[in-house]
Amino acid sequence: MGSLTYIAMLVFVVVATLPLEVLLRTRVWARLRRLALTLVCAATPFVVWDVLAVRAGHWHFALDHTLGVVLPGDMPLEEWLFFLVVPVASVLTLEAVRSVKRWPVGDEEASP
Amino acid sequence: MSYTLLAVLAVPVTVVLDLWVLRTRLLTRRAFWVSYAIVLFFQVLTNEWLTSQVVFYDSGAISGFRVGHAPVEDFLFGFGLVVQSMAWWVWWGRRGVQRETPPGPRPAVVRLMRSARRTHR
Repeated sequence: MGSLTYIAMLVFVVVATLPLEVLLRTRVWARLRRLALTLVCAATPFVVWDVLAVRAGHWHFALDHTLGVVLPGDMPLEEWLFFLVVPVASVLTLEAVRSVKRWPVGDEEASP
Repeated sequence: MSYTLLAVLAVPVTVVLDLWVLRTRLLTRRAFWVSYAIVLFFQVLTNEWLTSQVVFYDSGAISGFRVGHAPVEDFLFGFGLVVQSMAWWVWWGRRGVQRETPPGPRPAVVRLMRSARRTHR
């Protein structure tokens, strides 16, 4: 898939989880403020890890399999988007399971 | 520090964050483990896609144990990112930030399942 290899995978994850918003009423994207706060708190340490790991040479990216947009940290655009897409997909999955099974996740009104 | 060491450290850090710092206790909940199993399935697929074509690792920084092309360290990294994402989501909800599901159309699948269950009785 050449330069679309990485972005195609991200698009796949978004497209695969987006229907949950309507079908299972997960309403994660609809709660943007909560989602944004979650992303800032959860993704930041992993972005820092990623940037430092690239600097330390633990891993590197085949830029010819990306769109070619290189952002700060010497990382392709897709790698930054990864830390948006994966947390959102994770939260969507949790909300989807709650929606179907009615199991508590810990933020319920009367939760301990 | 190697990726191996950092990845192994990420697991207890994540556990401590969930159980004692945020006190979200997701790791004790069935909803989490079922969700994680689903996420893990897709992680195996998508990470194989990436590690076979896009991301390459320094052999000196990893243990060498792999699942397909993906170093096992990636699964510890992924565990941390997934658990922390869910934990912060629950934490902010518990603090009252958009805790409730906003109004919208009835969830089609849930409605279908309920009516199916009703006809079975």
